[in-house]
Amino acid sequence: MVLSLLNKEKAIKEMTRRQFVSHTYPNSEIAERFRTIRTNIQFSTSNKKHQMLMITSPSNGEGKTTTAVNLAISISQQGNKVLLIDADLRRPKLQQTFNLRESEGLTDVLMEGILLEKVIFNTQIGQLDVLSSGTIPPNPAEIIGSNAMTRFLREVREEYDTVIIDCPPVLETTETKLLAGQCDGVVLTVNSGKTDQEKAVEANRLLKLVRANVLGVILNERE
Amino acid sequence: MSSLQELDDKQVMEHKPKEINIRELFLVLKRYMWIILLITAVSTSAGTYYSLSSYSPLFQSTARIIINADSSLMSTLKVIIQDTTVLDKVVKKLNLPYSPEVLSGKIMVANIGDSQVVTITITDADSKQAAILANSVAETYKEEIPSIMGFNDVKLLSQAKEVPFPINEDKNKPIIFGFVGGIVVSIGIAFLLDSLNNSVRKEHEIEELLGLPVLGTVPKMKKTNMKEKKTSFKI
Repeated sequence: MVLSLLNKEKAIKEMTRRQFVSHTYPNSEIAERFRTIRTNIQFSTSNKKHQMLMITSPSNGEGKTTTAVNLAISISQQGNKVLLIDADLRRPKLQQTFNLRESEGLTDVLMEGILLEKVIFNTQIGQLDVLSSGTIPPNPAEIIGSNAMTRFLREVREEYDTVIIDCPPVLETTETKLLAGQCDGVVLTVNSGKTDQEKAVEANRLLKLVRANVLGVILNERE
Repeated sequence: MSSLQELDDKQVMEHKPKEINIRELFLVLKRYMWIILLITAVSTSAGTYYSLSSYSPLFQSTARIIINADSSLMSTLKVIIQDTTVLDKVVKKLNLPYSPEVLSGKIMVANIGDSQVVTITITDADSKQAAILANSVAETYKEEIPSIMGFNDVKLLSQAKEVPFPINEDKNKPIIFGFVGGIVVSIGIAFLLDSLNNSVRKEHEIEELLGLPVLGTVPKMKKTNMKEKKTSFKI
């Protein structure tokens, strides 16, 4: 019992260490890779100031959250005001990563009209703000597809230089497809040796179908 | 910088397919290293267990006698050593728990070259017992042969002595077999798994497959690439 608890704590610590590598080791190779990705994204999107990016992947466990967090850190290190939103209302990860358990978030803003300022978490990393998913609702697709969400995104877009949305997998949920059209760019994360070729093709097809601007692919865990 | 490197990789791949194939093979082995290690460890320990559980050492002991006869008679006299008439007496004398036929199976009779020296070799799981049996067979034979063949000229040359070293030393065979077999089988499995794995691996694969640019690659996070690069600060 105690051992498993210790292991769990260790696992969380290890996960957290990985997910903040751009912050904790800004000179590491990994951080350098994320800076390259940041530059490539900035060159491939139109040069407007308020950008909204979406990070997704074909299936679960391919490194979306780690990519989103490190990319957000990397962009905030340029002096940008960045908001990182967890739009995965089914299996939220950001609250665990930033240790925001039981906190209010996106769903509470959309459904109960709580002010954004109250639920946003200001990390001490640059100007990076984090919005967790909040209370897990029974109808995530309806909430993400609501007009309130569209309005909310328009608002935060004005307030931040860059908004990064950590989305659920494309192949498994509708929300991602609903959001994809509203973002300036979609980044597809695939895992080397794990993501099936057919799934990657299918995810790309679905994103094209909703006229998402797919900027490109991040190849994760490359050997 | 990394994209330049990748471009280089791609070009190298197009020009030197053979070298890259070997590198690919090594990558597959590295990727499935844990499977290879696991299967080899299991098969080696199975071999070890098998050899430890089934191995019983065998000892040999040899008594020498001289039979003063010409070659045609010699072969007859040699055959009689292993005959039940003689061995029956040995079994009774030593009170052995098995039949003369079993004892016969333990005996090897041979000439040394063309000489009249005949060796009686006993193979047994007990080194002491082997020597006792060899001596007893030689003595009994000497006592019994006059009444069987009317032949008197048998002498004991040398007594059998206990030899404490087992003759079957190759107990490592199953272990080596398990080790080599494990490696071969596991490498086969590794390549099988690799051929079944239909996942994306390389940048140019993705670009061909999806028609999307690769914005960047993130290597597997290890201690080495997560830490600060200290060398880059040295001038």
